[in-house]
Amino acid sequence: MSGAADAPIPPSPVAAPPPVAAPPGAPVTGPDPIPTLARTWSRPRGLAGWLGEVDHKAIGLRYIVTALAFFALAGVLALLMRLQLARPEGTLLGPDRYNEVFTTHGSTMMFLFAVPVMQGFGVYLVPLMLGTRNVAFPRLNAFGYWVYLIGGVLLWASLLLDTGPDAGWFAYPPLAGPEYGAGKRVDVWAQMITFTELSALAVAVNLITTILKQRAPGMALHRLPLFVWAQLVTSVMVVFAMPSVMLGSGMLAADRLVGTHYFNPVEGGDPLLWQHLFWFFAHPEVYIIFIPALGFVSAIIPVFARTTMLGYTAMVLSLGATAFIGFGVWVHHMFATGLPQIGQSFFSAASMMITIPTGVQFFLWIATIARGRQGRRGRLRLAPPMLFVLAFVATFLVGGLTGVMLASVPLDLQVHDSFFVVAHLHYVLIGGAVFPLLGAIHFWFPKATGRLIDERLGRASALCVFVGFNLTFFPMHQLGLGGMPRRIFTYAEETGWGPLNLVATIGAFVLGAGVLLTLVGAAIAARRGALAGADPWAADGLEWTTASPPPPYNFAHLPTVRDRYPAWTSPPDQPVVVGVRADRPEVLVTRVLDAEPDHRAELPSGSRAPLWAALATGVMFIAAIFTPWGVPVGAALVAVPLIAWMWPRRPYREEMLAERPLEPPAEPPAGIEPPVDAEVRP
Amino acid sequence: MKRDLDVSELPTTAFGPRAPLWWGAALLIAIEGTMLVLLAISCFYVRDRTDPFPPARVGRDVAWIAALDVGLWIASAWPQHRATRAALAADVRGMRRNLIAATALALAACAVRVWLFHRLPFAWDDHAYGSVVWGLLGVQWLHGLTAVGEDLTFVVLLFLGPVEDKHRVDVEVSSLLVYFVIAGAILMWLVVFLEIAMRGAR
Repeated sequence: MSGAADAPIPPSPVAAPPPVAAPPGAPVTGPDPIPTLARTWSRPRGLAGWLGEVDHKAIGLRYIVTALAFFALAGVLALLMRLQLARPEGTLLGPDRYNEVFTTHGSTMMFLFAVPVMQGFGVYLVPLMLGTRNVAFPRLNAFGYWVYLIGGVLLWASLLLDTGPDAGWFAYPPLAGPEYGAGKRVDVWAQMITFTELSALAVAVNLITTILKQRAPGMALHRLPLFVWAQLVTSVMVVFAMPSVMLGSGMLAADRLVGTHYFNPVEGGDPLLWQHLFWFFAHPEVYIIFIPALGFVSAIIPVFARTTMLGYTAMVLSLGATAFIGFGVWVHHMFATGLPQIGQSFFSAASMMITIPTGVQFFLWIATIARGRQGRRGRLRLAPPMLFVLAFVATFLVGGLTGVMLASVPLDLQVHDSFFVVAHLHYVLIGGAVFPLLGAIHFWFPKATGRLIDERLGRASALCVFVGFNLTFFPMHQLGLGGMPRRIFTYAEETGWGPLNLVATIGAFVLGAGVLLTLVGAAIAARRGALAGADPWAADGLEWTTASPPPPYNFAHLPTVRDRYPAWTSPPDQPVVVGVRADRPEVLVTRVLDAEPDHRAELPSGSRAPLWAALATGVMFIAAIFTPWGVPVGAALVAVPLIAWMWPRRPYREEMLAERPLEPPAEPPAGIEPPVDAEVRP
Repeated sequence: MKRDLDVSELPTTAFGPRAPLWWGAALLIAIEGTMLVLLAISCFYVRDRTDPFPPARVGRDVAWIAALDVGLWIASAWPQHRATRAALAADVRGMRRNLIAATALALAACAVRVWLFHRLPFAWDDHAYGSVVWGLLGVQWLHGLTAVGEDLTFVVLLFLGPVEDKHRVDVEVSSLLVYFVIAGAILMWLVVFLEIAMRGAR
């Protein structure tokens, strides 16, 4: 299992970054393919080219930047809420505006920031880590981004127009139903859900297919980087979780628009059906958010501990077990709804059981850090990415422990819908996902831009974020135990909640300053940061073997791998793939389990059809807020760009069926095998 | 000694699970299938809370109209399968002929669904059971219309060209989607109409 543990690990990087590494295995005999590759994979110049971009790196960065913009906006809303609650009888926000603010804050953080940013990292990094040139469905990838952007703009435009959703991020009927949810506020929320889930599903389909079918030869499943495993597990969860909320939001919209009665108890419906559908999605959603973050952690720790990850197989199994059990715990959000006792017992036990795989990962991270053998002074190198990881380990542990407490029915009934729950969910989601995300930004920023973020700013950011976060959310445990309900816009002085709320508000500003330091550091570095070189951290993955930022074609020669740490252990004469056409956007397709070469496939080139399709989809969904005829008319509109998207434009004559004799399905010729001995290493 | 991996002799088209497009379609089916199954579960959930049940009398003839709908979908599987075989054999004429037949049967099934909607004794806004039955039938109908639209596009493409190797894979994958629609139609019939067909009018 840890056969690669004895592999030679290069020392920590010295002050001067190493020169740009040559592509693995270079040089290769034959004509230089780089000019042709650059022509084939670069997008056309100008706005038209930008709008038609389908390169995974550009789309991934757009996801990340857009999600971070929404993160900043939702953070501003959080600060507004904290200012409102800083003292009793606050008057900054009225009750109606406060409802809009907390609903938009939660919805933005969950749907417009957390999921898209994690998927954005997947879109950017996975093809690089797999040694391929783009995702399997590049146009679908672009479509997903545009749809996501339209959904986000819809939500925020509605807030600015004072029609922002106001029924909380889980929009329970009957509050969100036609009886009590007047106007179009909840309809906007429901359609935003449809936009963002469509986008998430598009990314999930893309990532699963890319991971299973486009790996470098030799990268059998048991050599997949742990970050890629995390993205694979997350994407599978997305596939089975998102349909539930799409169905639920569709039902809610139908109840409000065409008078159906899914959630109307008077006509045989049931508001609890909504809760089941919503939480069957929304509890896995928590794992969809933090499992990629666990992938960040597993990618960062070995690099700074200068050793291989302990317990690779246990790590992978833990990720899978977390995902599997994660689908069986949704009812613990409904303990206060009067469930049968046997149901309570089952879901209580399942909720506690999920700590087992998470605990396994904790122990393995700690053991790997403990095994780390080298740093500048013979200890762990505490660069900013590692500092954020350490902050994650401490914070996520607290969030996990309060989760176990909430899995207990009697305690849950006491603190249900109180600030204790607010504290718990932020410990899990900020501690478990945002801390590793900030670490990941510091870690991979040099890969994406070729420049390093100033380490002093990074350290200051990590300190502010950790201190500010705990100052903000730790007091909320006590506030919840003291009876403060969530989602109240103010409180009386006699409650005694004022001092702890003031502390939380001060902490929120420290936390905000910490996040700002990272964003400012990134902005400064993008203009005048120190040059990073290809591999500033002396890291282990394939993404570090190409230039920073990577060229449009990612790798001059598609690599092969022989173990889990190719950048650390591949010999200078590691074979590369030759014979993939450079004059077409062609990639190598490999087999699912062992990544043996199977066939070559041409990917579609850049196109603006995904943008038109997304705009037509936007017209359909937004029109459906006002009239049911928006659906058929919008669907007809969507069909036009979809057909244009699929229609062949540049047939290659030798591949047209009329031009040559017909052939049965082709099998790969015998003798094409990975050039590595599968028995060499895991 | 270094030995690079020359893949220039590999084919540029593959079928079934070897093709990335097949995986894309399979995942799409997983997504839509999950939605359909959740809708079917919702149907039972609402039914349990509908008192008295059934909320309106459904004639046995309605169950047989639904059976005709499902039967037409099942019948479309054979020409769809033949179209796939033709695609594998790179037989453009065979693909055209069989796709036209499959599309015609599927279109007929979609038309029968409209008839079925007219014959249902309740509307979507009468009660929750009506909502969920219309929802299940409607979503499955939309799946069918999507499959018909896709097959029609391929028929036009096969006549107008240019037809490339990769379109053989497209035809094979579209068959996968049609089989999913057929499975959905069977599920719909089992969930809503089986009991009525077996026990008579309710």
